Amino acid sequence: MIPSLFGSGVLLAGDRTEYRLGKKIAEGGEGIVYRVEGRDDIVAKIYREFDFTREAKLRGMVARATKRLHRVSAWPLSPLQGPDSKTVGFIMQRLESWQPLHSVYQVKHRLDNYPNRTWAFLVRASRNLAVCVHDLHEADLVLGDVNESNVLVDDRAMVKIIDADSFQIEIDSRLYPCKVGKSELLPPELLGASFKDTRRTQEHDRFSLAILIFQTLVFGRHPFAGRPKKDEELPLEACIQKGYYAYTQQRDVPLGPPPNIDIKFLPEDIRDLFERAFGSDSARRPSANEWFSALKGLEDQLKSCPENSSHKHWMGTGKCPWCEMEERGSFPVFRSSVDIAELPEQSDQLWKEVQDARQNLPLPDQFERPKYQDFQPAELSGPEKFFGKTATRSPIWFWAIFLPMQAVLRGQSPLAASILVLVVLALIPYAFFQARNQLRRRKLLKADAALQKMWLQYGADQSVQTLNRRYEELRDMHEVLNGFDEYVQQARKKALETKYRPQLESFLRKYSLLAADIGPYGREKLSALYDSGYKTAADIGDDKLKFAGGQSSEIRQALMNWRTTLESQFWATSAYSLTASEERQLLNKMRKQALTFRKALQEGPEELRRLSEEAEERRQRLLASSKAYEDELQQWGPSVLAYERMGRR
Amino acid sequence: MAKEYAVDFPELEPLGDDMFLNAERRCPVILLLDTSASMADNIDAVNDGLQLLRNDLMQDSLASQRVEIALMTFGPVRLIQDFVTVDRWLPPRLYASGGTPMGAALETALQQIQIRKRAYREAGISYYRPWIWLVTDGAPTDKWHPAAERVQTEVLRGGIEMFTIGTDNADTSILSAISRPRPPVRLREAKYREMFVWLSQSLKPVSRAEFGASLDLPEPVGWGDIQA
Ligand SMILES: Nc1ncnc2c1ncn2[C@@H]1O[C@H](COP(=O)(O)OP(=O)(O)OP(=O)(O)O)[C@@H](O)[C@H]1O
Repeated sequence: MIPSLFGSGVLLAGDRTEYRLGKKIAEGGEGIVYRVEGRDDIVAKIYREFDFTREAKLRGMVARATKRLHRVSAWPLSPLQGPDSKTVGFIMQRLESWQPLHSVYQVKHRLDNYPNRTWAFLVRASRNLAVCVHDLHEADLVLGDVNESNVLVDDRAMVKIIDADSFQIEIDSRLYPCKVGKSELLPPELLGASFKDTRRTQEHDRFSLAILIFQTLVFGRHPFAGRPKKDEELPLEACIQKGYYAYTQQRDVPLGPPPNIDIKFLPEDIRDLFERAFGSDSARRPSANEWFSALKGLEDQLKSCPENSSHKHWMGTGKCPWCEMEERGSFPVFRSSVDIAELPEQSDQLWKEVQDARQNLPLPDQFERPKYQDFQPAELSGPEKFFGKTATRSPIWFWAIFLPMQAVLRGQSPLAASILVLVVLALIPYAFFQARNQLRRRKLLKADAALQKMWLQYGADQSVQTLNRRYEELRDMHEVLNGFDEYVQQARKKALETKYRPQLESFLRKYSLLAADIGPYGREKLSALYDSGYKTAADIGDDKLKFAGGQSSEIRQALMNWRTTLESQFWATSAYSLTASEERQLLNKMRKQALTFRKALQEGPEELRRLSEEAEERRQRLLASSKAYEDELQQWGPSVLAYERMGRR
Repeated sequence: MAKEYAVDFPELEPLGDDMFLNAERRCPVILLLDTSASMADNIDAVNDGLQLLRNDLMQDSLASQRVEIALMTFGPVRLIQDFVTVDRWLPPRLYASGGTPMGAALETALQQIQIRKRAYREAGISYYRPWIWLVTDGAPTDKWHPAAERVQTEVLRGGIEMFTIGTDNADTSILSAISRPRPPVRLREAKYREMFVWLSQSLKPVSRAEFGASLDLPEPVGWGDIQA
C-alpha cells in the first residue's frame, strides 16, 4: 500500500474554504479518515491512491445532496484538493461516537459495552438500517459495499451508512461504479465476478441488507454459516453460492442452524422474508421497504419477559425465547435486570439495643473461682515461726545433733549428753507442726480441686458460652446487614466463579506451562515442572503447587502471578454473568438471610436476657454448691500459704 | 516417524462460550516458531514481535474478534498455546532450546488445524482458510519430506495458506518445497518485530472489503526478501 502523501497538518482546499487535517481517526482499505482542525462536526477522508475519476464523482455527489441523503449517510460535503488541484479526498459529517454494526450485534461486545441494550434495540437498528437503504435506493443509488463496518449505529439505534463515496451512482448519464465488496455479504451472482465490468444493482444490495438484518436479529450469526450435517468443510462463500441458507424450512441443505439457535423467536412473516432473500430467485428478494414494514410490525408485537425485564421478545413465542436460550446455553444473552430487592434497613438501632442489653447483664465472666493463692497468709504464732524457720535450715539440726553426739561418744562430758537430749526433745514440736500443716494442706488441695472441677463444668455449660457466642453472632449479622450490598456482591462473585469454572479451566488449558512468563527463571525449571505433570496454567494452583517439590517460593509466586494474569484476562468481560433466574435465586437467598438476621437482632436483647438469666441461675447453683469447699479454702488457705512462704524463704 | 513430539492438550474444545459470545467468522493462524537453541539471541525479539502483533491487531476491533492465534514451537514440538481470538489473547513468553524437528512440527500443525476447524463446524461458525506461519533459522533435523507433501496437498486443495520465513542459515530449497507456490521469505537481520507487524497488517483485511478470494499481500518491505 502506498502511504498517502497527505497526513496530519496539511492544508487542503475545499469548495468554499480550506481545511487543515488533524489527528488520524481510522484507516480503511481505500482511505484514511482525519479530524479537521478547529471543527468538531466534520472529518476528512483522504485516499491512499489517486484515481482521476473521483473528482467528477465527488462533485456530482455534492451537487445531488439532499437532506434525506445527509440523514442516512455520511454524504460528501465537499471534495478536497491538494496543491496541484488534484482531488485527494473529501469532507463529510463526523460520526466518531457511532459504532459499527458488528459491535452492536456481537453478543460479547454488546454485553461488555452496552449492557442495557435489549433485543428491541436490535430490532430498531435493523429497521433503521432498512430505512437508510430504502432512502438511498429511492435516490437511484446502489450501495454496493454493504457491510457490518460501513453501517454505523448510535446510542438511540439511529443508523448511518459511511463510505458513501464508494456508492454506485449515475451522474450525467455516466456510471460511476462501486469497485468494492466483501465476499461474505455478496449475492451468489456476484461471487467471483470482477467488479470492474459488473453493474451493481439494488437487488444485490437487498441480499446484503438481508444478511445484515439477520446478523443483527440473530446474535451475529451469518445466515449461511451453520453446522454441517455431515462432517465436511463447507466454505462460507460456497454456501452462499449454492444457496445453503442454514435455517431454511423450504429446501434441503447440507447444513443446519448452529447449536442452541432456533429462529422461531422471529415472527413468520420475517422468517418468510429471509427465505425469499436467500432463495434462488433474486427477483423475489425483499425490498428495503418491505423490511421496514415487517420490522415495524414486529416492534408492535414486542413484550417484556416477566422473569427479566431486559428480555424483550416477540409475543408470538410461548415462553420467553431468551430465557430458554440462557438455560440451554447457560449464557446470558441479555443483561439480567432483576429488581434488586430493597436493601434491608440499616440495623444500627437494633444493634444498639442488643449492646445495651448486654451491658446491663451480669456477665458470667465477671466473677471468678476463689483461689487460695490470692489469700493473705496467716500470721503464725511465735513457736510455729521459730520451729518452722529453723526447720528450713537443716544444717543447724545436723550440727546440733552431730556435735553433741560426737562429744558423748568420746565420753567427754555429761553436758554434751544433756544438750543432745534437749535437741531431740525440741524435734518433737517441730514434727508436730509439720504434720499438722501437711494435713491442712491435703484438705485444702482437695477442696481446691473440687472447686476447680465445678468451675470447669460451669464454664463448659452452654448457657454461658452461648451467651457470648450469640452476642458475637449478632454483631456479625449487624455488620452484614449494614454492608449488605457488598455481601451480595461477594456471594455473586462466588456464584460466578462456580458457574464459569469449566470455561475458565478450558481457557487456562490453552496456555502451556512451557511458555509461562515467569521472568528470569528460565526454561529449565519450567521443563522440569512440565515433565512432572504441570502442563498448563490450569495445573497451577496454590494447593497444587505445594506438591511440586523442590520449587522455590519465588518460582511458585511467579507461576501464581502468571495464572492470575491469565485469569484476569478471562474475567475481563461482563459476558460471564448470572442469568436472571440465577440472579433471582441468589437475591432471594440473600433476602431471606437478611430477614432472618433482622429478626434475630430484634429478638437479640430478649434472647440475651434469657441466656443471661439461665447463666445466672447456673451461677447461683454453682455458688451454692461450692460454698462448703470455699469455706474450707478460707479455713486452711491462709495458714498453708504462710507455711509455703516460709519454706520459700 | 519417531514420536518425539507431544501435544498434551485435550483433543476438542468444550463447545460453547467463545463461539456463542463471538460468532464472527474466524481466521485461524498457527505461528510455527523455531525455538531451537540457536534462536537464543533472538528470542526476545520474537517475544516483542508477538506483543506487537497483538497490539496492532487490537487496533482493529473486527479483526481482533476474527483472527485466532495458536502458537507452536519446535525443538521439541509443543503446542505452546491453543487458539485464542486476539481480543482475549495474552501472548506467551517463548524460551529457546532443542533441535529443529520441522517435519513433526508441520504434521502437528496440520492436525491442530483439523481439530480447530471441526470445533468451528460444531459451533456453526464459518472460517477463512487457516494460515500456517513457519519461521525457522536452520535446517530440519528430522524427516521433513512426508510432512512437506501433506502440506502441499493441503495448499493445492485450498485448505491452508502456508508461509515460510527463514533466516540466513535456513535451507531455502526446503522452505520453498513446503510453501510452494508462495516463495519463502528471507528474514533480514533478525527483524522479527517488523515481521510480526507485517503479519498483523496482512491479517487486517479479514475485517475489510476484499477484492476477491485470492490473497493480495503487500511486499515484505523492510524486513525480508522474497526468495524466488
Ligand atoms: N464520517 C465518519 N466519521 C467518523 N469516522 C469515520 C467516518 N467515516 C469513516 N470513518 C472511520 O474510518 C474508517 C474507514 O472508513 P471507510 O470505510 O469510509 O474507508 P474505506 O477505505 O473506504 O474502507 P473500506 O474500503 O475498507 O470499507 C471507518 O471504519 C470508520 O471507523
